[in-house]
Amino acid sequence: METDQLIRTLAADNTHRERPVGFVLALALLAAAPVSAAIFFAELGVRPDVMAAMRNPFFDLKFAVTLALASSAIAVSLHLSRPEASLRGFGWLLLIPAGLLVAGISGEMMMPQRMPIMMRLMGRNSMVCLMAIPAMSLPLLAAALVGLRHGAPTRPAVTGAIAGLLSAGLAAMLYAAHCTDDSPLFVFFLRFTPPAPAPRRSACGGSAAPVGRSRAAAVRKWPCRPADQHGPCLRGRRAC
Amino acid sequence: MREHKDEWTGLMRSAIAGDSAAYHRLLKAVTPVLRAAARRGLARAGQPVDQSEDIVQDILLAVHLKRHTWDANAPFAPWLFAIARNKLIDSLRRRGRRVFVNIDDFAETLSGEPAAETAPASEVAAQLQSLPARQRDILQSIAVDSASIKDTAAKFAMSEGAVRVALHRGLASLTAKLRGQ
Repeated sequence: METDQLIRTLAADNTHRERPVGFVLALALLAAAPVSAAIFFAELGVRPDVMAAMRNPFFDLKFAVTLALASSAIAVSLHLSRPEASLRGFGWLLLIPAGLLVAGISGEMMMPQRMPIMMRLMGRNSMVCLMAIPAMSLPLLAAALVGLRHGAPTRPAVTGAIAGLLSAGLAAMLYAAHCTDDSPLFVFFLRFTPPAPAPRRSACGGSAAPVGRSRAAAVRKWPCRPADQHGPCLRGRRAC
Repeated sequence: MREHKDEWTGLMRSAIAGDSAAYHRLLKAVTPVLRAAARRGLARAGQPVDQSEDIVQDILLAVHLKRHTWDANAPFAPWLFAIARNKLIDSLRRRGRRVFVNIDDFAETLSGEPAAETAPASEVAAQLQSLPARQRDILQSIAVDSASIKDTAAKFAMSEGAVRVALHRGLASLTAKLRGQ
């Protein structure tokens, strides 16, 4: 086919409109949310003393931190779904949840404590947490990846990692309603252990991905091509 | 240079607003630039430059199917060049070469003489044959016979809406096949 013929065909298809990436991502997350919520109510449930806990600022802080994580990850991932996007100017958004947490930990440190620090750090049910958050984040992760593939991310490893943070943030927010460990130290533990595998899992061989490093040499190699070095990696395929 | 790019952005805004003639003009305007860059990339990779037309068509299809990711408030050229760069790298990889693409290949491409179309592209034509018959017929009617949507609908006794749907599906699966080959 001649290029002029192709151009004529594409122009004839101009009336076709795709939905914006944010819309598709929102739809996908809304579709996955009931699945995660079902896991939550079937296996965990809201903690019994939730009415009393709501008066504890540290209980509320857990929601603030996880909500901040999820929403900043959504903002960054939508930005990365555009082909010309870079993390510059957007990466700092991910510092907001970390900053909130640091503020919470410093606040708690200044108060008189009944429990020893290791108890507060590890919590009473950290094993449940380690299982529950990844389980609840899986449907959300799948949804986020479907939504983001509708865009044109040119850095699949980074975009996948942000999708992992997004789903882990949402799952941790659900989990916070069950968990009786309110210490920000435990949130720190929870925030950095279960979510950590999620970005790695979704980045799919990101360690081998020379993203950015090669820029100086004017050599570009893209991470995660399915057929070559990384094995099967559906999510790692660039969508554009 | 700058006026060219501003003109592209304006054309793309009109295209998004539904002006198919502006879209046609935009694609015509960017094609020589893409072709020149593709030839440079191929030459640098030690590949015959007459394959550039396949890469150009690959880029045009990606631009078409991903144009909803362009932010109408942003300039068009950086978005276009980001897609073009990735497509060039992809197709050089498909040809099994180590990829050396200069970041600047797409930055200042209007300076040289516009390159003429060289060898006809073969990849899109080959994949076209593997499409379902109805989609292939419709694509060929519009591309090769330059029939309008309306004429094509009359020819195949379909509604215009059905032709539009088949056309879009055909382009999307053509792109998927090109990517998967």
